[in-house]
Amino acid sequence: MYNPVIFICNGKEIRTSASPTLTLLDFIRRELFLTGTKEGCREGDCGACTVLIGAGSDDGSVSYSAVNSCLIPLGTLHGKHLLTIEGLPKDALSPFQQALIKEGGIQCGFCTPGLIMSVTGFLLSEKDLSIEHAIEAIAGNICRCTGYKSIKRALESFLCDSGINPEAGEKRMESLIENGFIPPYFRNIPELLRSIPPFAEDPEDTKLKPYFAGGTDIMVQKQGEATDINFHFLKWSEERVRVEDGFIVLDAALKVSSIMDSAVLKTCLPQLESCLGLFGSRQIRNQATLGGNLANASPIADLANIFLALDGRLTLQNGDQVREVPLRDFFLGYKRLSKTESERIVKLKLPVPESGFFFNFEKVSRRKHLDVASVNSSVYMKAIDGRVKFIHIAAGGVAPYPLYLKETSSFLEGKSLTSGIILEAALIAQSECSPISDIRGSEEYKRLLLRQLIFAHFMKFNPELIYSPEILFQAQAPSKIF
Amino acid sequence: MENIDLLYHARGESKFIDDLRLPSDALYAAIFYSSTGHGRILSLDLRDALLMPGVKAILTSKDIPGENQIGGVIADETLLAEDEVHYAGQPIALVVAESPECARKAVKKIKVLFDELPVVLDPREAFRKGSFIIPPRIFSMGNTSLAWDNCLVIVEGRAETGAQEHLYLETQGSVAYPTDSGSLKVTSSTQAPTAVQRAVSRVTGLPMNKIEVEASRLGGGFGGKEDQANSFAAMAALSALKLNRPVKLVLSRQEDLRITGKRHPYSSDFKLGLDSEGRILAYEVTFYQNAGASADLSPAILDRTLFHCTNSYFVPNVKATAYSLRTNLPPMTAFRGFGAPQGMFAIESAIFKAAEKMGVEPSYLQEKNLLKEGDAFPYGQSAEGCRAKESWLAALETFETGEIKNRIEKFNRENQFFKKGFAFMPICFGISFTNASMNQAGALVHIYSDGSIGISTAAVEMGQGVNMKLRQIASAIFQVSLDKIKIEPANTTRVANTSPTAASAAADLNGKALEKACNELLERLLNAAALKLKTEDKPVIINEEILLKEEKTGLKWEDLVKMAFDERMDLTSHAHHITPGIYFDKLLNQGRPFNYHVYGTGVVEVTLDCLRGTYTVDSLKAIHDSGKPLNPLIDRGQAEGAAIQGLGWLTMEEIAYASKGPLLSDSLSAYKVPDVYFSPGELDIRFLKASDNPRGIFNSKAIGEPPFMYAIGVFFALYNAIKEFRPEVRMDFTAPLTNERLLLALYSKEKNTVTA
Ligand SMILES: Cc1cc2nc3c(=O)[nH]c(=O)nc-3n(C[C@H](O)[C@H](O)[C@H](O)COP(=O)(O)OP(=O)(O)OC[C@H]3O[C@@H](n4cnc5c(N)ncnc54)[C@H](O)[C@@H]3O)c2cc1C
Ligand code: FES
Ligand code: FES
Repeated sequence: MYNPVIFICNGKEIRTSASPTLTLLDFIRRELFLTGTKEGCREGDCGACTVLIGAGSDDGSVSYSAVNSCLIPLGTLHGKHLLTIEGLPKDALSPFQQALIKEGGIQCGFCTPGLIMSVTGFLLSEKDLSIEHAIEAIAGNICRCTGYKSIKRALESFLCDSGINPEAGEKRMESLIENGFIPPYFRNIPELLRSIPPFAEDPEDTKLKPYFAGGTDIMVQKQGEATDINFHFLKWSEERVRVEDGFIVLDAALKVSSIMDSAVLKTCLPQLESCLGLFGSRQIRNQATLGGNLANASPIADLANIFLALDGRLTLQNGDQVREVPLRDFFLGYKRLSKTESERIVKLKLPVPESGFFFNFEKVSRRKHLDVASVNSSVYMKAIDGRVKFIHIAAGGVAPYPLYLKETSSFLEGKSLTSGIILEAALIAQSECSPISDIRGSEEYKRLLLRQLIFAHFMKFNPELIYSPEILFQAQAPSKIF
Repeated sequence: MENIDLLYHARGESKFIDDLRLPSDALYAAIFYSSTGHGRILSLDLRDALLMPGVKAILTSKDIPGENQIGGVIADETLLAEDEVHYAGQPIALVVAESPECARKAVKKIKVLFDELPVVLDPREAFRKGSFIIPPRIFSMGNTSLAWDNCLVIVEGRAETGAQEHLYLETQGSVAYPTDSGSLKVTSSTQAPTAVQRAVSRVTGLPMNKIEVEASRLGGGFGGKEDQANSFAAMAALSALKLNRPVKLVLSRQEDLRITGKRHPYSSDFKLGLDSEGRILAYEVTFYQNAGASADLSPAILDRTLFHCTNSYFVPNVKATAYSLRTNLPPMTAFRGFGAPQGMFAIESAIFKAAEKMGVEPSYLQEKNLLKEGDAFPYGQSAEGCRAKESWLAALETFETGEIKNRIEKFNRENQFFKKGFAFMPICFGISFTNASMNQAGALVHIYSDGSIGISTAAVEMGQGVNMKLRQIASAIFQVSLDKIKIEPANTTRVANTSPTAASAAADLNGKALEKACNELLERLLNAAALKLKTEDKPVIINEEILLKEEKTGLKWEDLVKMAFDERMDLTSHAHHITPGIYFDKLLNQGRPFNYHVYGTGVVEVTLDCLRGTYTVDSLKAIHDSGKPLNPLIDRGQAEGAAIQGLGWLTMEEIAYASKGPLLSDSLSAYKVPDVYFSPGELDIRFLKASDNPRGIFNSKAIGEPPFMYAIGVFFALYNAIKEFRPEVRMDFTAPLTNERLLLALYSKEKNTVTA
C-alpha cells in the first residue's frame, strides 16, 4: 500500500493507492479502463499515449501541457488535472475532430486520440495559434497511415475559422468551451484542484534512490521495471530563469519548453529558442529538464552541448553543502560525472553574453525532428574586426560524453579568421574527438559531419570565409587522418 | 464523401485488440525468443521462470498438440523452435502468466545455451551457398542475347534496396477464448482471418469449424499482418487451449520490431540496352531477394517483382531472373507494393545510368519508352486501357514541369551550397492476386426487419476505408442512407474461406461480391413491391422511397422490408465473386495474371543542403489513374499515405542488423519514419480525369499500393541534386539514401566509385 495519489481525471476525482512509480499509461488503460489513450512505443517516440496534464498555480489558473503518458509515473500526478481523449465533449465532436474527419485525417485511428490531445494542448496553452505552431505541437505524433497532409489540411481548415480567443488565458479557455473544444467542467477544475490536500509524504527515506526529474531518460532506461524501482522525486522551490550578478541563472528544474519560453533568454540569447525546437517533441520538451539532461550526460545531449559552449557553471548541492563546477569539468567519461550520487544539480549559471557575440547550434540527425543527433555542435564566440576575442566550441556524438573542444577553441582564440585557419581548426577538432560507429552513423560519417558542422558555424558567422565549395573539397578528408 | 466510421476513432472509442475488456480469469502471454541468428539449442532452462509467482505455464514446441508448423506457402516455419534457431527473434517458448509484466519478467529468467552456427545475412552469400527458398524463377520475352548487338548504348550496374519496417502503430496481437464444445474464438489483428484460422487449426489440431476468427479493425497493417499475424494468434490459441482460459498476447514495440519480418531487401544486377534514339531494346536483370529464414510469402513477392520489372515501359527483349534466398533474418513478408517497388527501382536505376551515359535527361528516356495500348508485358498480357502516356502528359501540363525545371536551374545557378533536384516517376501496377485462386470473395447481407442492414465480407478494415466503400456500394444499390448500414467485423463463421485483405484488392473483390448479394436482395424486394402494387412494371427505389414510373407510391424502404418479412421472404443473401478471365501458367510464366493495371506519373522535387548532407522533399506531385474513384477523399488519403511511406523507405528508414543477426534498429528512437515535418510542403496527388475501369467495382481502381512507388523518384531527385554539386560523382544505386550516404557521396575523394 502506498499513500494515496489524488488527482482529477477528466471531470472526476481519482484516489488511488497504486504504486507511485506505476506508468501513467498503464494506470489509465488498465485501472481506469480509458483505452482511448494508446500504447505505440513506450519510449516517447510516437505520441499515441499523449495526454494533457494541468497544474494549478497560486493565481487559480491551471496551465496545461501535452505529455507522453508512457514516460510519466503515477506519483507525479498528485494534485493535477489529467485529461484524456475520453474527457473531451461527449455530445458533439470538437471542430478539430470534425475537421479531421472531413479532410480524411484519420485512417486506422490508432494515432488519432494522441494527435487530438496534442492539438487540444496546443489550443489551451499556445500563445500564438498559427499553423506553424500547430504543426510544431503535433511533431511528436507519428502517423503511419495518412502521410500527414490531410492532418495539416484539417489544422488549416479549423484554425482559420475557429472562434477561439487569440489571447491565451482565461478568455481563451472560455472560448474553447463555447466552441466545443473542451467541456464545461473545465470551469470547475481550479476549484477541484484546490480541494486536493498535499501529498502525504513518507518520512524521508534515507536509502539512496535515483533522482527523478522529468523522467524522459530514466523511464526509458528502466523500461518495464519502473513499477519495481523507487524514485526520489525531485521537488523544487523554483523553476525560473533570471539574471544575477552578470550571470543568467537557470534552475535545474526548468523544462526545455520553459527555457524556450523564457523572456530573459529571449532577450539575452535570442537564438536559443529555435535551437531547442530541435529537441525531442513538444511532449518531451514539456517534461525534460535541464538538470536531467546534464546529469544523464548522454554524448549527444543537446542542452549539455549548448551550455558547454556558453561556458556554463553548475551548482551542486548535497544537504547543506553547495559547490560550483564548470560544466567543462563536469563530464569525465561515459556516464561518469564529477559529482557524487547524492549531489544534485540545482542551478546552471551562464555569463551574460557580451554584446556583439555570436552563437550557433548545429544538429544533424537521421530525421530532423524528434531524433537524437548523429553529431551536434555549438559555438559561442566574439570576434572584433575578424580577430577572435574568445571562442568556445562543443561537439556531441563524437566522444563518450558531451565534449568541449578545448584544443580547437584555444587554437582559434586570438586568430584572425581565414578559410585556412578554419580548415586547420577543423583538423584539430578531429584529433580531439573519438567517435564510434553505431546506429547513429559510422565513425567516418561522424568525423566528416563534425568537420562540416564546424564549417557551418563559420559560414553562418561570415559566409565570405568559406565562399566556395572548392575550399571544402580541398580540405583534408577527416577519415584519412588516422 | 466523409467516412462516418471515423467518428469512433475521433473519440477514442474504437476498440483495438489491446483495448478489449477481458474476463477476470484471463491470462497473458509473452514470447521468449532467440538472441542469436543461428544456433543449435543445447539447453533450455525454465526453472527460475517457472518459480516466479504468477507464472501459470511455459509452453515449448513439445506442448503443441497439432503440427508445429505455420508455413502457409511452404511448410518450413515452426511456431516454436525445436532444436535449432534460424534467426534472432525466433520464438522459442511462451510464458503464460497473470499479467503481461509478470510474463515478461519471467521471460527474462529463461536461460538458453546455443551452439552458435554460421550466420548468413547477405542474399548473395546465400546464393553462393545455394540456399534457395524455391527454384529460380525466370521471365523472358524476345531474345536479349540477340538484341545486345543492335544496342548503341549498354549500361550495367547494381541496385540495392533495404528492408523496411511496417510500423503499423498497433503492434501484433491476439486474444483467444476457449468456447463451448472444445472450440476456440480468436480475435486477431490480422489482415487474413482465414489464414489465422488455418494456422490455429494446424497448431492445435482442431478442425477449422471449431475455430472462429474475427478481425474487427487494425491499427495499420500494410502487409505486415497478412501472414505474420498467424503465429501470434496461434500462440494465443495454443495457450488458451492448454490452460483453458482466455489468453491475450500483445507484442511490445520492441518485441514486434525484433520478431517480425519486414520488406524484403533486394540486391539486383541490371543490364540495359538502347538504340541511338533512346529506345530500350533489351533488359536483363537478376534479383537476389533476401527472404529471411523461411518462405512466408516470399515466392509470391518474388513473382510480383518479376511482373513489375519493366515498370511502365515497353521492352521488347527481357530476361528477368529472380532468386529467393534463405538467410538468418526474420522471415521477410508482404509490405505495400509486395516486391514491385524493388523491381521498379532496378529498372529506374538502369534508365538513370543510361541517361547519364547518353548525356540526356532520364525523363527523356522514361517518356520515350512508356507503354502504349496493346504493348506486351514480359508475361504475355498486353496493356489494355493503358494510361501511361496520358498520365505523363497530364503531369507535364498540370504541374508545369517546364517551369519547375527552369526554377530549379535558376536556383542551382544562384546557390552554391544548396542544390535542388527533381525526377519523374511513372508507375504501372497490376491488380489481382497473382495466385489466381485467391481472387475470390464472399459477402453476406442481412436486411433486418426494421430496415437496417448488416454486411459481412472478407475485407478487414485497417485504415484503408474499405468499410466505408462497402457501405457506399450497398447504399447506392439499395438507395438507403449510409447510417442504415453496418459493416460487421470480418469473421470466419460469417464469411468463410476468404482471401487476405491485401493486393489492394479488398474493395474490388469484396465490393463485387457485395454488389451481387445486394442486387439479389433488391430483386427480391422489388418483386415483392410489384406484387403489392399489383403492377407488371418494375418499381425502383430512390432515396428510400419506392417509385413506380417515376411516381411516388407512398411506400418507403421500411414498409417494403416489413412487408417482405411478413411475406416470409428470405431477407438474407450470400454471394461469391471471382475475378473473371485471369490465369497464369507458372511453368511458361505466361498468362493474364492481372485484372487490370493502374498507371500514373509522379514528380518529386528536393533541396539538398550540400554542407550538412541533409535535405527536404519539397514536393511530391502525381497524376494518378484511379478510374472513377469510389471515394475520392479516401483514395487521396491512401495515395498520400502510400507515397510518404515510400519516401521513408528510400530515405530515412534504415534497418540495421548486428553481424550475428540481432536487430540493431529495435526501437523507435533508432528507427525513424516520416513525421509531419518530413512530409513534403506540397503533396499533391490528383486523379487522372476522364478515366474509368469497367473491370473494377463502379468503374473504380484499386488504390492501396500503387502510389507508394511515386516515391522512388525521390532517390533520383536527390542523385540529381548531388550531381549539381559534384557533377563528376557516380553513385551506386543503394537505398535508403540516408543523410550519412548523402554526405559521404558529397565529399568522397574517389570520384567515380562512391558507394552511397
Ligand atoms: C523521445 C525522446 C526524445 C528525446 N530527444 C532529445 C533531444 O532531442 N535532445 C536531447 O538532448 N535529449 C533528448 N532526449 C533525452 C532526455 O529528454 C533529456 O536528456 C532530458 O533533458 C532529461 O531530463 P529529465 O528531466 O527527463 O531527466 P530524468 O529522466 O528525470 O533524469 C535523467 C538522469 O538524471 C538524473 N537527474 C535528473 N535531475 C537531476 C538533478 N537535478 N541532479 C542530479 N541528477 C539528476 C536522474 O537521476 C537520471 O539519472 C529525448 C528523450 C526521449 C524519450
Ligand atoms: S507510447 Fe509512444 S510515446 Fe508513449
Ligand atoms: S491513422 Fe493510422 S497511424 Fe495515423
